[in-house]
Amino acid sequence: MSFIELNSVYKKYKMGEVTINAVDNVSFSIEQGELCMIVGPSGAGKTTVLNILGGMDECNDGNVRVGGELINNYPDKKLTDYRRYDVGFVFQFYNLVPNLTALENVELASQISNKALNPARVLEKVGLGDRMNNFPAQLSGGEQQRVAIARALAKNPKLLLCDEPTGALDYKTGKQVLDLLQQTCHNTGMTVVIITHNQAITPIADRIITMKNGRVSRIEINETPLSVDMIDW
Amino acid sequence: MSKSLLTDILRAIRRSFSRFLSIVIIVALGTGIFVGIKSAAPSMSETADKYFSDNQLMDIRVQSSIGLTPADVDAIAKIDGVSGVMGEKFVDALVLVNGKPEIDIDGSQISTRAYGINLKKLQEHYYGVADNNFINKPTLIEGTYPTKNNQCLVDASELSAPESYKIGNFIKLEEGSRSDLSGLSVKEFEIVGIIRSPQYISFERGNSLVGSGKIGTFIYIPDSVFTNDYYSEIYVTVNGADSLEPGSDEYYDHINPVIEKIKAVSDKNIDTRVSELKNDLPGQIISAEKEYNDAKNKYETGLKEAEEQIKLYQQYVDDPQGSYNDAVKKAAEALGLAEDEFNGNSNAYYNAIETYNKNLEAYKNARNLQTEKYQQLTEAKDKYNSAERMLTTAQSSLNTANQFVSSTQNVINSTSNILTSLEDYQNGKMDNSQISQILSTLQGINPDLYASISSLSAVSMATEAIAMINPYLEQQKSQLAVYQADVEKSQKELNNYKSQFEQAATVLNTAQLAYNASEAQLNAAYDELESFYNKLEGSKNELSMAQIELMISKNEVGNDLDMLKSLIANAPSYLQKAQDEYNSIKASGETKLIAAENRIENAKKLYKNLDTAKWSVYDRTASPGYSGFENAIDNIKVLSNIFPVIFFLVAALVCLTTMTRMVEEERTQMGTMKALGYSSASIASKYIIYALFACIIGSTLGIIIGVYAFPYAVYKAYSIMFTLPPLKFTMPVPYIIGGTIISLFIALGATIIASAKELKVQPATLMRPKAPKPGKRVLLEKISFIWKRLNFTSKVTTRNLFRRKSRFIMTVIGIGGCTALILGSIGFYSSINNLMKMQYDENGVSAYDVQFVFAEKQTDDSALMKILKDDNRITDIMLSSMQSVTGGSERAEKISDVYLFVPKNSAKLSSFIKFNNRTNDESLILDDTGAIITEKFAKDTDTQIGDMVWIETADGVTVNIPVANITENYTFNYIYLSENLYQYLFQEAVSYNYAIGTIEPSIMSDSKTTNNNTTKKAALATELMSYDGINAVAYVSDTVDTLNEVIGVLSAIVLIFIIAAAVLAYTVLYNISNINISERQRELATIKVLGFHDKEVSAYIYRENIILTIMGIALGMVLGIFVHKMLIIYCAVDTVMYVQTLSWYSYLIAATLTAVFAVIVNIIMHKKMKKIDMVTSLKSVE
Repeated sequence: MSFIELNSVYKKYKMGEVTINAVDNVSFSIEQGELCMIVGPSGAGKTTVLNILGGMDECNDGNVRVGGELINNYPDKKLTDYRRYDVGFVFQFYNLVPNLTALENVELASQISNKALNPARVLEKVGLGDRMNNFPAQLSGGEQQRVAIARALAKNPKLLLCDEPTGALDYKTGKQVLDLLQQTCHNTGMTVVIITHNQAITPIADRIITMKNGRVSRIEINETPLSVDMIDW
Repeated sequence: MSKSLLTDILRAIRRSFSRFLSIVIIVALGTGIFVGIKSAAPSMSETADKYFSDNQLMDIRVQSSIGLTPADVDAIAKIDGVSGVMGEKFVDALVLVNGKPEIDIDGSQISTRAYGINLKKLQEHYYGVADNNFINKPTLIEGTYPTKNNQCLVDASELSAPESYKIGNFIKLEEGSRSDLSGLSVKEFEIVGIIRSPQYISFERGNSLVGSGKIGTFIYIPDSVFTNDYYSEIYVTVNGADSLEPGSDEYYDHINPVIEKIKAVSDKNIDTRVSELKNDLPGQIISAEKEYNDAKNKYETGLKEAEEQIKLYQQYVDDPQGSYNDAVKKAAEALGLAEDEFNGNSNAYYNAIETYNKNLEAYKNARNLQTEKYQQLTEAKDKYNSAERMLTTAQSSLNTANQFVSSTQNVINSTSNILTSLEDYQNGKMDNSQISQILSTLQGINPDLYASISSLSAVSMATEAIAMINPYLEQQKSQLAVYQADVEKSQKELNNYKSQFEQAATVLNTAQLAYNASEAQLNAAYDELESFYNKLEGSKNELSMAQIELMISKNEVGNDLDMLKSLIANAPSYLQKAQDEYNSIKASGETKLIAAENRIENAKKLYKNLDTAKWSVYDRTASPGYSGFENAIDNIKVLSNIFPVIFFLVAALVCLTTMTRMVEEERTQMGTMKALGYSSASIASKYIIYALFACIIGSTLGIIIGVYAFPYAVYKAYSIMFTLPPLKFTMPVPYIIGGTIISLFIALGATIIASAKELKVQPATLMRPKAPKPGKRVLLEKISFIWKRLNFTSKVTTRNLFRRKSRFIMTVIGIGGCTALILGSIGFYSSINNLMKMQYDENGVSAYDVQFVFAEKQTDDSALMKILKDDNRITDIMLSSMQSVTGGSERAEKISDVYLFVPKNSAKLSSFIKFNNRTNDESLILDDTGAIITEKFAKDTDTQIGDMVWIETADGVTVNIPVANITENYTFNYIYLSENLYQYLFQEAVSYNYAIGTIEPSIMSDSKTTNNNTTKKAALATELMSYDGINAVAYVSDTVDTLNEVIGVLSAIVLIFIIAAAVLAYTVLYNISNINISERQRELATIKVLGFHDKEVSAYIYRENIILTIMGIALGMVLGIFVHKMLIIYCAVDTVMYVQTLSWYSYLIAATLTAVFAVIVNIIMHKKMKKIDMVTSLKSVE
């Protein structure tokens, strides 16, 4: 059994008279330790899939299994615990708490996790050992995103979900962030799911799921993922 | 305004409705409280004003110690400026409702003042007829006006009138000590209506000499039931007075000249009245004394009878068996007597029978004899009768024979005569005619012969006739002889019979005599028999009577014994009844006697005091509760200056933060508009109009609610103390305009400040997301040993708090204001409570329990004082002098009402009143070097130890007094003077007409009602009041109770403030939380995604709220002290010095209540935070 399994998942939005299937019969699976990229244009339904996967949203139909557990039936409380202990989330706009320093932002996550890593060491790992006591406003976008990744990692989750992590970053910092994510995946065996609209970065992934109009159009297993240095966009 | 702008604004309102609402609410609160509290006092005062003029409340009241007369009314009516005059009769009495005594708040039997009211005037008043001379008109609240002599109207006051004052119940007026109802023809009345009177607006009813010394309630009874002809009071209204504000200086300036004029006319009227009374009173006194003696006799007899009953039953109770045995013995004796009598009677009866029988025999014999004699008599009578008959027959035969003889003789004579004549004729001596004539006589004797002779011719005739007649004559002669023989024979027979008759008569006579004798004998025997028969009958009756009596006695003895048995068995209860009877006779008789005695005493006193009679002329302030009402209005006026400030300040801050947030949210849009070429003013106009909308809605809402609710609530609270018509709302237009302008200024000012800041920047900058405010280290972080210990939420909280200063200030001030309001008002409430304690509690200033007011001055060993001293329920008593004076000093303008108190024994004073310097807690002693004055008076007159104060007595004497000390005191103002100093200062002896005393604690603490439904305390008061010479017995605890009622009213007002404070706290906290949440929605969503539980998410925001609340509370504690002080300074009643310190529990209550409000807001916010959608965290920054 795969680590993540989606089976005929639907997500419908009602817009007045019209029902839109944001996610329309999606099925795929991701193995443990894989770096998986879900790619597609805007409105393809990839963020909705990520939300469902991260326990932030519920599907209307189908099964979602993570680590063998059927999470789509979880009650609110259990879903919160799922997010708390099993999932790390990296946002497109970092979503750091502006009033907390880099370290404190990481600690914000680590303090609620039961198997947290040392926040300072995580920050050092993402290369921000010297910026730990800076406030987000004092950090560049890439640095902020790295703080965000550190925050996600510090919880020591089973699954790292990243929503357009490079979307707001320039080329260079974007690369650094991608590299960090790939390293994390390969070094720690953590399952990482990245959502992106950027087809160019997909070669670094182990598995590439292409979505279009709410459906999975293609699933590609990449036996030889490239390192971040090798790609270009 | 373009249509799109309006649409935009309306959408903005819809989208951010809670924000809009918070501005509306805070503006409504600010304006409402401002307008409401400002209009409370005018509304109340106008309500009262209208009430007074509608019901023609008197402006002046005239009283006289000797009553007032219609002539007095006329005299006053003539005075210039007087509009209406009415004489009023009233009596003070105790009340029974449906036969039960009613109890006043202080536990004494309630007394009432029963006013006479003219039913006709009342009806006219009902139909709206104006009548200047109908003053103090009552207003009917329920029921109807009386139409009959035995109907009445009662007091509507919630506090003073007993609950049993209901329509259909019956009120009976009773004489208490010193009340005199002899002037009433009807004393029991049916309640037909409930009224309020402008004369009694307060629960205070004034004093009376009846019962416990104060009037409990009042009622109106028809004036026709008053039989006396004088008035108790005269009421006067003054022309033009009702157009002036009651209580204002203009009003009193208008009234006072009339008062002076009335005083001026009083002397003449008094003289007339006095001379009238001098004539009438002695007669009244004599008849009253007679009545008293009759009543006394009746009372004593009744008492004696009851005593005997008690004795009898007591015996039954003491020795039931003996009593029964005695009774049995007595019964047997009685029965024996009856039997003896019966036996005697039966002997007499038998004797009588015997005697009777004997007499009956005698009677029978007499009767036989009489019968025999009667027969004899009858026989004799018969014989006599037949002899008599024979005699008669013989006589008649003789008579007949004699007749024949004489008639025959006559015929012979006549015939002889004719013969002679005929011979004469023959001789020619006679002519024819003569002879014919003679011959005609023959016709009567023998017609046949005559006929034959007549036929003879004349010549022959004589011869022939003689021939013819001669034979006839011869025949007749022979006939005569026969007849003569017959006569002889008859004569013989007659003689024979005559002798026979005489014999029979003799026999009859003898028989008659014998019969008569026997008849008399029979009668005598009968009479004797009859008398014995009567005797027999009598004796028979007596016997049967004796028999009946014996039977009855037998029966009675049986019944009596049965009854006695049950009597003895129930003797204890009968004894109790007899004792009760005795007691009730004693009690009612005593009160009646006392009342009668009082009547006499009063009349005598009145007579004695006629020479010193005087009118008292009062204005309205002398009426109970009137000045209290004026004070209440002043207090509200002061409050109206303090509280709105806090609310407006918070309103300004709420508007500012809210609008700032709104402008911040829409900065992109603002930038776009600016870029499109809109002017700053037109962009800002959206926010200004938005705020204007909120402000107009809010102030309208606030004005509507405030103008009605606030005065209503305040009025409602005061309605416990004051009985007034429903509130007449007035539109306080200046305050409405003022309040609206202030709120507009606040809302628009805040909006302009908020938008101006953003509009100054370049559009390009505006369109970019605002650079998040850099995280800043706070001071606390430098203290790393604390900082290190804080967890993240605490750290975030701390930094957030200091990031938005205006919000911080708004919240802290808002919550602080809330706490301050609560603390201030609760503190004010408890200050009064405390001052009551410090003045009246066990260790308080006033250690005495009771005050006595004497009718005349007393000495330490006067009879009355001895009685009081000997009464062991009164543990201690001290004679004093107390008079009400006005006092002041040259250092201050204020003039105060002060009691001048002179103790008989200065050394003993400290056991009744605690003299203490409040600042150094040193005990003070009253000596001859100067007066001790109370703290409040000292403060008001700016007096230090060693200064002088002046006082003016009621008689107009002004004296300067040196002050030796200042003592702690909380209620009323006092100047204590030693006897020597008083005499030195006033140059006169002290008139001791007053005493203070302490009462046995068990009596004072007895709040439970014993028998008769009164407390021991009240019973004691009633008893003491009944002593002659005591005018009033006033417990200190009654004063405390009355003051506590006032505190009750304050608590209602405090509640109003707490509600306002709650709304304030709620609005502020809701607003701040709302802004926090909307501003940090993204942050909250993020931490939700991070896996924070709902509670943790809420706590993230709560912590800020909690800290802000705590800081607000802390600020409120400080502000509250000022609010409290202000309340005390401005609400200070002349007679009361407030305790200025706040107690810990005031703080606790204020803090707790604020915290509770905060918790409620947090609970609401929790629900709101739960709804935050995590997906928003993924969206790009706007």
